[in-house]
Amino acid sequence: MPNVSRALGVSIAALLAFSAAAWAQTPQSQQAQNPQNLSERVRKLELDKSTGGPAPRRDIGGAWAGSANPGLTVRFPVPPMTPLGQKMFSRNKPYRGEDGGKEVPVALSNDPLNTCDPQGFPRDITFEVRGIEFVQGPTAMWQMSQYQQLWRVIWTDGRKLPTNVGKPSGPDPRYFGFSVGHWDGDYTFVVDTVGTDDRTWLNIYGDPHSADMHVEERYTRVDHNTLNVTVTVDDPKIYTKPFVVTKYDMKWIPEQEFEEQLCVPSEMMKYQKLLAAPAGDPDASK
Amino acid sequence: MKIKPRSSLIAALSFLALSFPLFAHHGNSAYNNEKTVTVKDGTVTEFVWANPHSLILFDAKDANGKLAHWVVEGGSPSALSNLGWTRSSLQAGDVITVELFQSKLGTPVGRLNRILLSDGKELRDSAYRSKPGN
Repeated sequence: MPNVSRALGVSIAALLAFSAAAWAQTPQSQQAQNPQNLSERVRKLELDKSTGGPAPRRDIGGAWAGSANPGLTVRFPVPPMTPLGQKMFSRNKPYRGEDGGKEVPVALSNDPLNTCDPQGFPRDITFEVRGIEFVQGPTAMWQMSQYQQLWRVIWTDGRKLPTNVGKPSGPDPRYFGFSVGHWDGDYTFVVDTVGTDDRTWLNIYGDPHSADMHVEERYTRVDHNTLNVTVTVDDPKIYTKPFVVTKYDMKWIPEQEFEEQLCVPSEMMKYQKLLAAPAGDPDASK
Repeated sequence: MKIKPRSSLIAALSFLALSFPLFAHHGNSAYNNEKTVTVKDGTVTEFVWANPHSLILFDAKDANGKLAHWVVEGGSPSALSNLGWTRSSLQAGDVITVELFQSKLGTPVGRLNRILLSDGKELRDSAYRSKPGN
């Protein structure tokens, strides 16, 4: 249907011409690219389907690129919450809701990240997972994150997880909890974590958790270049059944390099004062 | 020149699909996302190249000739550097035209869409949308 094609072509050309009228156009190809920028490299890696060969046995060491925003645009289905869970959820005021549902302007949000508080675990692997590096040692696996440049220790020396976290005889809950890991076969590294501080959220949507939560992470190296991540939350105090809180693939970073990406409190305070408050807080904008 | 409408459409749709989630990063419920506002002859007072989002502070006269102090947020340094921005892309004193999504409260703050520099160069936000309201 050449006539239809031509008419459609002309209307698209007219639309482009109209939108370009007041603005100079700088072709993307002429714009400088930053080779150190991980999010740009992630986009390219996600399009790259090469396997890099078979996965090495019992080895997930090295730097991996996450999706630029895993869990940000899709909230994994959450099972019905218990009365305590509903109470905790009602106190959380995320600035990003599911399908635009429960969300408030940034200025009215109590997201811990609004003050650069620690994301904690497992939010560090449900939000802003730009890059993760595993370092395998003789007694532990270290997981390091680009965002906030932080690290977790996952003990692999056979020790048991504490069962008395938060009790008078036991240690206090921690932002990143207590973690142990083991291999399930030759290609899946499994991490079990307990004792996480209940001030943190599971994700950007404000889903709560208790300090009694148990989280299982499964890292399956599908091939040399692909690491499948599945994170399951079991928290009977808050949720009526266990559920997968996030699942995504990470890609091997050829250069094995991260960029620096930090939440800087003084910059965040400036952002809140100059922009978030006048944009979204009716009291502050008067 | 022969235009291939199908590929143009696919390119446009892919771009929108890519850009919308980025726009939503830090919440957009404070802004009127249905239409852009264009502020002409703004004078940059400060450019904050920072996480989570960069800030552009500029002064411009409103319709009544009164000086307004604007603040707009753009993408993070990580996202903007993909589009040719650097920490010195804007300097105090630069005269710019700014297309933005203004706050629903009507305050002089907003989310950047794009900037036109006095030399004719355009700087797009990482969440740039060619057609607001999507």
